[in-house]
Amino acid sequence: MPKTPDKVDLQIIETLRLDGRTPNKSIAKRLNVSETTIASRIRSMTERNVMRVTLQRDIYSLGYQFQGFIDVYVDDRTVDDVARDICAIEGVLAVAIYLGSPDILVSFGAHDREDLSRVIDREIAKIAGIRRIDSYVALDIRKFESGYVALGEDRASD
Amino acid sequence: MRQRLKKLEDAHAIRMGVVVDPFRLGVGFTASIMLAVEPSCLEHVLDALARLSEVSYVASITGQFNVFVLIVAQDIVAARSLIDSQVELAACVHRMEVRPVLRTPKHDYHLIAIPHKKR
Repeated sequence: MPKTPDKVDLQIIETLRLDGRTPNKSIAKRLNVSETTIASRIRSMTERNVMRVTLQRDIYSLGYQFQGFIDVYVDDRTVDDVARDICAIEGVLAVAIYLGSPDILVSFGAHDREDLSRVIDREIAKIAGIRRIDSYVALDIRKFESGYVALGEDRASD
Repeated sequence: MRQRLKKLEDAHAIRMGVVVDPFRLGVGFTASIMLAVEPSCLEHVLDALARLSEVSYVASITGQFNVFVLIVAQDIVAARSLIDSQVELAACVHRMEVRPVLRTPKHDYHLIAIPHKKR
């Protein structure tokens, strides 16, 4: 059974969530523990895939004009196989498998209208086993965090 | 190098963020919520949902629903109470669909929308 994060771990996570750049010294002072403890806690949680401090980039600054979603309905093929093919499409940010219908949710970014059409009309269309899709584009993104991510070693996110 | 990073950070192009494995924290329920909201309430609904810590994504969208929300909650019961707690928004919502996520084969957590102090 993997070690579950204790109160100090959770407080470290909470502090870093507010500002990922908070120095260990400040966290130590706030939690009233030594700086070495903070450093070793962070290292241990990173090794155990509990959390990760990472550089995150803004989709708009990277030149994505559109961010959207595609609901995918699968037929005559396993959902996992279809999902694997979708993961390989350039511009796909996340792929989630639903319980129920639709079978798969795809989140993607597109640089312009042509790129939007590439993802929806061409790349998705090439994949076998997709019976139907519903696509929609985000208009006013009020919040877009990626605070929770399964960090197991078999993940495709890196 | 440090100055360049600082500049990018000030321009909201990058940030140091923390990602957490929800299962290690016992946060086990993720779902999309599709909402059909009365257009006059849209701003209010988006603002209210963005304030909730369980909401990791919220945007207005094109299509038959006009709001897309992603929530991460402790479990299905907690998700239900979260939805119930938004009772004052209910009058604005014509239709709601909750779609539980079983697993996530891909999630590029390096790309997000970095909020500006005032958008």
